[in-house]
Parts: sequence; C-alpha cells; structure tokens
Amino acid sequence: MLRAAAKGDESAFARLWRDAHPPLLRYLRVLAGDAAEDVAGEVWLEVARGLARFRGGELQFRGWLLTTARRRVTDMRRRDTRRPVRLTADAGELDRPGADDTAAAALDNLSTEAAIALIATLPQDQAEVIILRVIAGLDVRQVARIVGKRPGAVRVAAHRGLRSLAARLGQHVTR
Amino acid sequence: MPILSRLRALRSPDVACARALFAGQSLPPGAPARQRALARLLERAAGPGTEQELAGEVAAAAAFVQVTSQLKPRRTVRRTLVAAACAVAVGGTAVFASVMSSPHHKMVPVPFGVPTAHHVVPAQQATKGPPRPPGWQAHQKGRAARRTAVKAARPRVPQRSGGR
Repeated sequence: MLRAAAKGDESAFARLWRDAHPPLLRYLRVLAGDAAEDVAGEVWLEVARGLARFRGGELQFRGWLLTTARRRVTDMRRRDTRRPVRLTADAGELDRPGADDTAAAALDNLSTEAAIALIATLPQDQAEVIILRVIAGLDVRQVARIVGKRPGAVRVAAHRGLRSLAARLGQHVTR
Repeated sequence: MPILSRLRALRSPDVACARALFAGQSLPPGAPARQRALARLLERAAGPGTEQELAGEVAAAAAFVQVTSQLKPRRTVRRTLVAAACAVAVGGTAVFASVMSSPHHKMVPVPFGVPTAHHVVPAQQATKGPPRPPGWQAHQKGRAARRTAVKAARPRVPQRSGGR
C-alpha cells in the first residue's frame, strides 16, 4: 500500500489516509487543540510531497507522520508567539470553563472525542506519550525518538499519565 | 531507598495493568474498577476513525493527486538532466581514451631536441573471429587472385609528366 502510494496511486493513498488520519488527528487534538484539522492538512501535504522518497514499513510511516505533525505544531506555536492573537472585550467570557465537563462526559457517554478530551486534560508530556503509545500504537523507542526524550523518561511519563487518568476517572466514579 | 521504592512500584498492580493496556491486552478479571474504567477509556480513544474524522478523505486524495502531478514534471526534468550528464561524461571519456596514444600512462615530458624513446607497442594479437565455413580460405584465395587478374587486365593510363 505504501509503495503503491509512493508511486502516485490515488486509491492506495486514500487507504493510507483512512488508516493513519484518525490517530494523527487525535494526536493533534492533544497538541494543537482547535487547530488540529489545519495542522493535519499541512502534515498530509508534506507527506504527499515526500512519500516518493520514503523508505520503511507501516510503523516507520506512522513515526514519520507523527514526527512531521509535531514539527508543524512547533512551527505553529512559534508563529503564534511572534504574532499573538489579540482577544476582544469578551476575553473574560472566553476564559470561563465550558458547561460540559469532559471527564463527566467521558464517563456518562464515553465517546472517542470525550476520551481524547479527557486525555488532553493531562500535562502535555504525559498526554502526548499516552496518545502515541495507545492510539498510534508506537513502542517506547519510537515515542522517545518523536518526543526527543529517553525511553526511561517516556515510560515514566506514560505511567504517571495513566495513574492521573485513573485517579480522575475514580474521582468521577465516587462522586 | 529510592531504588527500593522504584522496585516496589515496578511490582505494583498499576504497572502491570499499564503494561497490559499499552500492549492492547485485556485486563485480568480481578482488576479494580478504576483500572477497568481506564481500560475502557483507552479502548475508546484508540477506536476506529469516526465519520467526522474521515470526512476529508476526498479532499485529501484530490490534494495528493495535485501535489504528485506537480512533482512529476520536475522529476522527469531532473532525470533527463542526469541522463544527459551521464551521456556527456561517458562520451567524453570514450573520446579522450581514443585520442590518447595507447601507452598514455607512460608518457613523460621530453626535453626539446632529444629524440624520444619509442615505446614498443605490442602487436595486436589476431582475434579469433566467428567460426568459418569449410572452404572459406580457398574462396578467399580465389577472390584475391581474381582481383589481381582484373587489375592486370585494366589498360594503363599514361600519367602526365611535369606541369601544363
């Protein structure tokens, strides 16, 4: 499928996209929030440009895709730092928490979106590692390469993240 | 002490559950409710793509076609240039090799006026051609003899001597 897509086969690329887009989008929701869709579009354009030169299997492809996504998010954050968005007079209104509690929603009617939203409430390093390990299905080494940390640090972040998630879920269960 | 606490943590049921969750395995039946809720959460998070997530498939495929069609001409031009450069290099090498005298690697600058020592060029060995049919040599001899006879029979044109 990868080879066919690299040769320009549109249907192979569509299959590849169907497989890899959901995990990419979920990863980007944790990293980039509402800009996830836009960043995902940029990532796929870059992938389409470089696919002919790509060598490797499915896992390597996922690694490449998510590394590209992480770089795009870093670029986006740099851009935003240079040109900060000015909020209007309703800034106070915007800062107020939403009516729906993501954790409660996750327990009541556990949808994929709610689950991702709950994971996104974790500190970013933990959320990122959990998404990469559980959703993208990458092993510790690949995750370490993507996030630029040691495998030991990745393991620690993943366990801490799971513990925090379990604690948050437990709080809502006992309430 | 930190090492001991670490070892204790590694043996804890939480870590075992975490390993199972990361490996995509189901939790043991006696797992606490908290762990089961966590497993359910991660399972949902890793679920198949929703309709909303996959809505942009057509647009993505179209963008892919556009990008690859833009890339193809560039790739063709690059390949043509590389092929031309290779042809020039190979042709140039061949011409250079044919122009140079055979033992060119032995050439040394010779001082003016001193006769150069001629290199002894080994005579070319007779190459073995394709197998000849029987009677080929006799045929060749006959051909040569006929050519000589024709030449001898041709009337000689007297050559002009001197100028006009």
